[in-house]
Amino acid sequence: MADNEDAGPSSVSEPLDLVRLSLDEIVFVKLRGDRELKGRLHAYDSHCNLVMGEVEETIYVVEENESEEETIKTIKKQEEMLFVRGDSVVLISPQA
Amino acid sequence: MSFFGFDTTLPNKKGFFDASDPFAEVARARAAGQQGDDDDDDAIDFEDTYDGLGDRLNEDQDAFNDDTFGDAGDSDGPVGKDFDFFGRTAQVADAFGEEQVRYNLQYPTEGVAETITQTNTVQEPKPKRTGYEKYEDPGYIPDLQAKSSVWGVSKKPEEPIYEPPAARRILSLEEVEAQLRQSSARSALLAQPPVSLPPGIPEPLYPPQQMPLLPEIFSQIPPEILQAQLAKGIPPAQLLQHLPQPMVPEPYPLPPQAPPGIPLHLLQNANFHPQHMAPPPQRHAMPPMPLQQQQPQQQQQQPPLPPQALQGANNPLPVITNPQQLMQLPEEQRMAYLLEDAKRAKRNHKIFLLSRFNGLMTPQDKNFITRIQLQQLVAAAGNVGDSDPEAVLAEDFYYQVYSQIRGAPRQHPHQPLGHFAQTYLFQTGNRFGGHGGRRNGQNADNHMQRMQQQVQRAVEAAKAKPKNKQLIIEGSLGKISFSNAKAPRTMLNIKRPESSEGAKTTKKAQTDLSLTDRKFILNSIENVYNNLMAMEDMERTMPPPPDEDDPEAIQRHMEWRQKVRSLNQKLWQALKVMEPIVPNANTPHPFIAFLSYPKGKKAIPRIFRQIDQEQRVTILTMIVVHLDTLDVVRRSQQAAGETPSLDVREAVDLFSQAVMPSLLMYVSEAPFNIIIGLLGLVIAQTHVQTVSKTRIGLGILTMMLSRAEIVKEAGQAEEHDWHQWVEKFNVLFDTLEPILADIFPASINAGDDMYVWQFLAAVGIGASPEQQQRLVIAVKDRVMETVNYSKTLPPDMGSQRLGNVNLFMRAIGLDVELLG
Repeated sequence: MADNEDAGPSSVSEPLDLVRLSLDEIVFVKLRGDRELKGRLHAYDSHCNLVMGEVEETIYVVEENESEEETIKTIKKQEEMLFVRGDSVVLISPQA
Repeated sequence: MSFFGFDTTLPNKKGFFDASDPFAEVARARAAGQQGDDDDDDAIDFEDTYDGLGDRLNEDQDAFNDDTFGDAGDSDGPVGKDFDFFGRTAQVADAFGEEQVRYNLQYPTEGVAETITQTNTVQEPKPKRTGYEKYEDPGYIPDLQAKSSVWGVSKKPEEPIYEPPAARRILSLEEVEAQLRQSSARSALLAQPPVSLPPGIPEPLYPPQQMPLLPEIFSQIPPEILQAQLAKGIPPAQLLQHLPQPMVPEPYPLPPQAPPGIPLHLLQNANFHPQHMAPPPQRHAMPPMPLQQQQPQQQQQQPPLPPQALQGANNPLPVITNPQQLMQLPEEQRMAYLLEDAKRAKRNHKIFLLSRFNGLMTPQDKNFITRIQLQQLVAAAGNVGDSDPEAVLAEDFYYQVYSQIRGAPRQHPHQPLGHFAQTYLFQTGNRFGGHGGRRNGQNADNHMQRMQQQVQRAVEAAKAKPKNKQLIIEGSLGKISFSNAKAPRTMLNIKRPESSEGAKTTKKAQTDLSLTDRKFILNSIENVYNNLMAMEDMERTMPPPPDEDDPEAIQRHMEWRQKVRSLNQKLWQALKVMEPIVPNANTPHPFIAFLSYPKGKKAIPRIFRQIDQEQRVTILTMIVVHLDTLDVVRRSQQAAGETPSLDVREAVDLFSQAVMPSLLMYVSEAPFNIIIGLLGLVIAQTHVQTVSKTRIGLGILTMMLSRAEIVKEAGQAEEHDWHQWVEKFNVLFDTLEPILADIFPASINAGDDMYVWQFLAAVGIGASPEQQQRLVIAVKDRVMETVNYSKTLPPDMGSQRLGNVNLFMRAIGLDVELLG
């Protein structure tokens, strides 16, 4: 896809250029530690540090109950603005 | 700068030695001679590091060391064994303690004396290491330290220790000389850190348990001073009492170059200033007679001493060394004395606190730090020439923009320094200026100038340095690549494709196919932003308005304009406004797609700043033509009873905040015929009924109607134009009349319907009386509804709704009041 759209100075020439297309858009970000974020991407840099707004954070926690069954619990948090350090970012996906 | 770092020209010192010491004159003359050269030596200079000075220290001058310190050869052996500092101290520590307790018991009220003693004991353990040692003439330091110990070691002044030796210690010059000769064999020992007493010395002067630690040298020097003071006619007893005071550091003025807060014993320690490297030559000149040798040593000690010693003698308060003496004083004087003492102790303590880290850094360290700072300064300002503002921006974008917004005035308009460098220098200047009272003002200025010059030189050097990142030495195989903090060495070297023309053309065909692809639109939005940023950046580099007489300036200005024009063209292309309009295409026009993204909407105000009127009207036309396919119009269509989704509401809000003002700004100045044309386009090209059911659609219509009204009011409309307008208006009115009741938000309590009333008002003003009548009939239900509804609302909200209705009612010459 990216190859098709080489036009002008903002042509896609490296992976992060694709992230640039999602600036100011809603993105889905998967983080280490079983966390996911969904929110508007305000800024990013070459380390994948992100600044996101109106973020919904989902944390997946595995819990063991008495009968040793594992259940997955999700914790959701709402953040107005979030800085994400790049080293925890696993993937960034545009959320159309 | 002078010998030993003290200002030897102090007038008060003169009084001390001119009678008894011809050598002081010599020294002073020398110092005065040196002063000119060394004046600015205290400025830490790049080139002028210590190594340079060290070269001047000729080792051959050590030849006279033996004369100076006695022949160390014979007494070498015992030296090592006798410096059991701790043991010696420990032996008498008990005695000290007992003495203290006894004293406290005896005079329990005298807390002041206690404080003083404490202050002194605190000062004692102060580390003497300054880092200079290895750079100094080996024979030179020890006696300096011996001197410092004179002040550092003396203790417990209030005790009657010094009374007995008083008479004994007033020695004539001959006596002193004799004594010195006698002990010349010991002088090598004396040269060592003096705290312990060499065993060979008979201790005739002090009862052993009272002054066990006082170094021999102490007994040598004071008589000199005493004699000098005697020459001034000061009663010896007073002098004696005064001399051994532990407060010695306090009452003396600090030498001029010394930063405030440095305790005297540090100053006395000649290590404090680099200038102390100067002495050797002078020493060389001195004949090796013991007494004469003493002169320079004394010199370094004396500046602190004399004036206040004399003053002390004139002090209305008697000098007190003996507590009993204190008791005998009248109450008033005693209080005054204690008060004075307390003050002094407090100050001493303060000085001590301030000076705790004095001497922690050697001049080398300071030089090193200064160099680092300068280097950063250069790195920060290095590429800065006025010729290259780009680099300045790249270096410190936010600061630059911030200071531009703030309009921060440049302090030195003609200096090609970065703001950072300027700030740095400015502050440094202030700091040094602040010391004006203590320092030689001229000196401080000089320092500032030198610093500035250095920075300037460094900056120039950095500019002159080739910018190559690699160095290939001829004949070698490898490359040496440089790196610094600003441009770290690249680990990977990946060539960016230089948007090669060939690649572009091959892809062009495909681009058309994916016109509506989301990613393509996003990409073109980024493209627009890139161009926008480039253009906004160009604004910063705008050359000053050209001078008629300066062809070069005109040339520059032309070039700049050319660049701006080409950027404008690029931006225009990126916007894709001119892409052909495909009628009935099921994909929106690229520009309309562009506007459907929030960031596309947000870009509009910035774009409007960069484009000319013609381009603006083109954009406006484009929007008007596609009014019904505009996302904010299309998605706002909803069935009755439905409230628009949050997304849509946000998009509409954003559009009315970001795009509408830009359009309005243009429309409010647009010529009448363009307004007529636009209205014609709305009628001909769009589904007016669809458009009018949306907030944005109504907004744009309102915009045009009110502009027409203003033109008419101002009488600027020509007859012909006006006819055309009325024609179009009638068509519009006829089209809208059937649905006038439906243009309102679905339910009456759905919130803001002001824009509808505004639109109706705009229609009403322009309408003929007959049309007004039809208008009232069409919306009268809604009017009544709203009026009734507003009565159920809280007063302020109700009056707001009524006000909205009245907007329309007044336009057609009515008022809600009339409705009862």
